[in-house]
Amino acid sequence: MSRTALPSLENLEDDDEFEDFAMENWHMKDAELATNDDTLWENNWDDEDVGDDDFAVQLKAELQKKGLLNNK
Amino acid sequence: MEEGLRNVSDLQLAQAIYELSTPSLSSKHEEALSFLFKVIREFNLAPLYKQLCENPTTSSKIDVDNDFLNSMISENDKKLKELDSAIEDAQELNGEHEITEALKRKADYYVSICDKEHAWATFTEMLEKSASEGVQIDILFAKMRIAFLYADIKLVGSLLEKIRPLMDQAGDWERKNRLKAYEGIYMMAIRNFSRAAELLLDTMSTFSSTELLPYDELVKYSVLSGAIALKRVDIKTRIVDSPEVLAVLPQHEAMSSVETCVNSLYLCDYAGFFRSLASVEQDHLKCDFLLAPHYRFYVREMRRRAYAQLLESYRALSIESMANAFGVSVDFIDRDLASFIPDKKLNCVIDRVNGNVETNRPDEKNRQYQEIVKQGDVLLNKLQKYQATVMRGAFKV
Repeated sequence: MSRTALPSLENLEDDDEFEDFAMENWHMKDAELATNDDTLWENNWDDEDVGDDDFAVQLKAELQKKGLLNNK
Repeated sequence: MEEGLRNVSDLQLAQAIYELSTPSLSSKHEEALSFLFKVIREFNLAPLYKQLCENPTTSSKIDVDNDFLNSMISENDKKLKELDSAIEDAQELNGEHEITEALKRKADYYVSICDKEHAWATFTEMLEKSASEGVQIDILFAKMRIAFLYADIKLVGSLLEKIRPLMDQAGDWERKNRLKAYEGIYMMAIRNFSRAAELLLDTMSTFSSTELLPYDELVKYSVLSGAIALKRVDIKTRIVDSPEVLAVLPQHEAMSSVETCVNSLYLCDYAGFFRSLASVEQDHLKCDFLLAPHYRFYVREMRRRAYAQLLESYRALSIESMANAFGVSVDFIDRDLASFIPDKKLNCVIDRVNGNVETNRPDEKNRQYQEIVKQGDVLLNKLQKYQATVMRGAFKV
């Protein structure tokens, strides 16, 4: 009885299902449209609430509401 | 530092220039102007004076005094003549080291009087004479000083890129410490607070780069960066309990809001935290030339940290008690929390019907279990396919 040949590596390589997708490595910066604002940091617009009053202004309003501000 | 050279730091000058050129800081203009004039007069900073007179953002504040300018220029020229003759002497002796040293003194003088153009030209001369890594590194530091002085953060970034590989090759302990300070300030300027905190807190105990900024300011920036970037336990060990911080912050009335802000957050005094955060916003962020572009981000992220810290201890609590903890109204808390929830910046939901905030932090063990089951499935699939392939291969003729 002939011995069973072990499957060669080529057979395995034919099986695409073993291949993982190559890591998509495109950078966000390249994908974004160029903006006028050439800043060196990420513009976290969500974290900036541009248009809102300064926190200090908001807090002052809150404290006044509570009557906690002394009018000096 | 050589006698007669400017002993006021680059960042202090940059800060005053920023105040002077920012319309919303008009209340600070008078003081900024008198500070700048004092330094300009004392050290004959003719190039800086010229810049301020020509730059449209500051020129309106200054009555150009040409006699004043010319008298400073002649002082500069006198000094430069001395430096040039020292260079000639060195050239006669033809020692490379002596020539480089003499050129360096001239370059240092140009940096001192804020003359970017001539400083750069002298650096080029130095590099022609000696391209050793040490000389290259020191030139890059000097260039960074001017870049910071003229608020050219982008230039600082590109200079840092050049200095890093040289540091790996030829950086001694002193230069490495210097780099930590310069790079830390740069990181803060580009909103990388986490990296800034690492570098600045690390360099506090060995800081000597007072040409760039005063030690007290370094400590302050370290604290501000650490407060927003570090985990609670590290805030305790590296800021709250830090001997350097404890030696500096309490000494300055002006820095008390920074001190209170960090301490109150750590001690969970949320109402005190809010009040001091508001002061920090106005006094130390909004008007600081490095931090002004980030003040909104900073204040919002600090609020998020405080909310997250409080919610850590609860499965649910009433909006009202949360509002009371922070010393504000229910409306404010409701609005503020809601602004963080959609982007999953806070792990909670607001149940307005019952007036509750419920935390929905995914149960960590549960998550890990789900993850293992998922990964196990993937592995089983692969093994089955492999088995099928092996079986196929075994029967191939």
